[in-house]
Amino acid sequence: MQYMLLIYGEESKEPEYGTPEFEQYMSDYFAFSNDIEKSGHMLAGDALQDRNTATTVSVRKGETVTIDGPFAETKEQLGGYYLIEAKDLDEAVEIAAKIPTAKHGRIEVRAIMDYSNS
Amino acid sequence: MSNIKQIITNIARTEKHYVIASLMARVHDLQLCEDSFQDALIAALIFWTKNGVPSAPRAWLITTAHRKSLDFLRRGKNFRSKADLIQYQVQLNANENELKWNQTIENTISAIPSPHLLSPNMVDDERLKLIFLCCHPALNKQAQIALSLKIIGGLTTEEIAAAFLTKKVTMAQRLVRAKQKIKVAGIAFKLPDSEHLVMRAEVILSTIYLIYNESYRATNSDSLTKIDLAKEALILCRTICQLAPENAEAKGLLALILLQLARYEARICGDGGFVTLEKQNRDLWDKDQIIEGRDLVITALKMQNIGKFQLLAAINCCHADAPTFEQTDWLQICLLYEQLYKLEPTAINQLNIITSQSLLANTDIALLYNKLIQLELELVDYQPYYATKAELLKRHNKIEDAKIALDKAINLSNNKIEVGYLMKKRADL
Repeated sequence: MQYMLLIYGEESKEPEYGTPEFEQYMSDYFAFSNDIEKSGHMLAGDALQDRNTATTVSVRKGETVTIDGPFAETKEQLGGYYLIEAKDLDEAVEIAAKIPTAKHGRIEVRAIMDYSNS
Repeated sequence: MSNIKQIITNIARTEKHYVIASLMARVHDLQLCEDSFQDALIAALIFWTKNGVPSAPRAWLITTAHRKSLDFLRRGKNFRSKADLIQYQVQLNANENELKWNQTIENTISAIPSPHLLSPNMVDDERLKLIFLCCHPALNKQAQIALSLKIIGGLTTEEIAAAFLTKKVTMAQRLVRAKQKIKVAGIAFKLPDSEHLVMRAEVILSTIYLIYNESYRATNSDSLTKIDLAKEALILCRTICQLAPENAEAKGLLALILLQLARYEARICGDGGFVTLEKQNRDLWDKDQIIEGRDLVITALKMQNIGKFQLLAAINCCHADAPTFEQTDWLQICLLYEQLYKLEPTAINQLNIITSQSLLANTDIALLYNKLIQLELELVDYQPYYATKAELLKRHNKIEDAKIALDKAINLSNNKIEVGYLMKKRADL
């Protein structure tokens, strides 16, 4: 099965850019990505630009409306994702638990919808 | 006819999880398995009325339910192709998807091995997998409880809703959501890896304990205990003990339930009221349940893997062994609560230590009272805290303060019978 791992973090809890903690954080991410690439679980994965740069789009009555900012103003914001292949939810959860942000943020695990099975 | 109906109703309850477990091994869809089982029961009603109950009803039900599951898959395919045919007339490119879907169904059907009688050990494994599935930590506790009672306990949605004082439709939605999540989120029908086994077994036991607690506390209810849920918890726990004989905590939980149920009759008085441990007629205690409970505690403790349920069971064993309330081994109970506090350092366990210490001879009541009031902030909503506080104040001859504490306890209780008991206690001051 394919699973999307959505990485939600709180900016105030993330290590600050330029500090040794940040270096460690990044190298943990690098190591994690490498590991799941090698193990064959990785399908895709990216970090997203800062949420302050988000644009939210909706179409109402044929008109495109844009809002400067993220969809929901919550403390924890979507900061990146991994798309993985795992044999079941247990394996997906195990992989999600290894994402460095899981230590201070949260990872939402969602199965990709399989149209052949519904 | 009505006789057969009764037989089938009984078999439906006890055999359901055997049938579902062996179906789940082939078709990973809990809803489909339940529907197939239901259809097999309808078939049983027709055939067994005509030909009598077969010598191996379980095997009969498994085989029939298996065939029904294949029917469901095929019918699903037909329905799908008809629906798509209509869609096709509107939208010509539906063709490709339809073809893909038909292939998937045929592959699923051909991948299902024909039913055979599973060996007893294999059935046990499948049943254990089913319990792990119903109590998967990715499902919330309410869902785990509802699924366990529905799939393993074989209760109907109405029965579960009634036991938890919820609407049938709410309970039905909860069950549907849980089954849907298992299917689409990819919760596997398997035994957990050895590294997760202990944690996963704990989840199962805590679910059973919640079912049991619901029966014991009977929150918001007029009748003191909902004995049916207690019996369900007992059956579930027996199943776990049988399937996981090496789990000391499962034995501990079974012992705990047995030892508390042994006092059930003595706990209810003639008018449906509530008799405290102190006032209970100990001749009414169920000796067989006490013997079984005690044996289980001893066996479990010898396994040297102490846990919360074993300690709670051992405490209940002390009560069961005491010929009178006064002759209870309070010192032993204190020590057991202290052990429990080491495992779970909670304010409630601290309160239990204080309450049992207050029953020791030559206790320094003033010292205990000081320890007790330090817990007040944490236990401000906990009725037993105020009951103990009132008791200590009474022994300190502070009757007015004891009345205030009891008023708080009365306010916090939502069980009418318990309120009656507390009111009487207040009047006796």
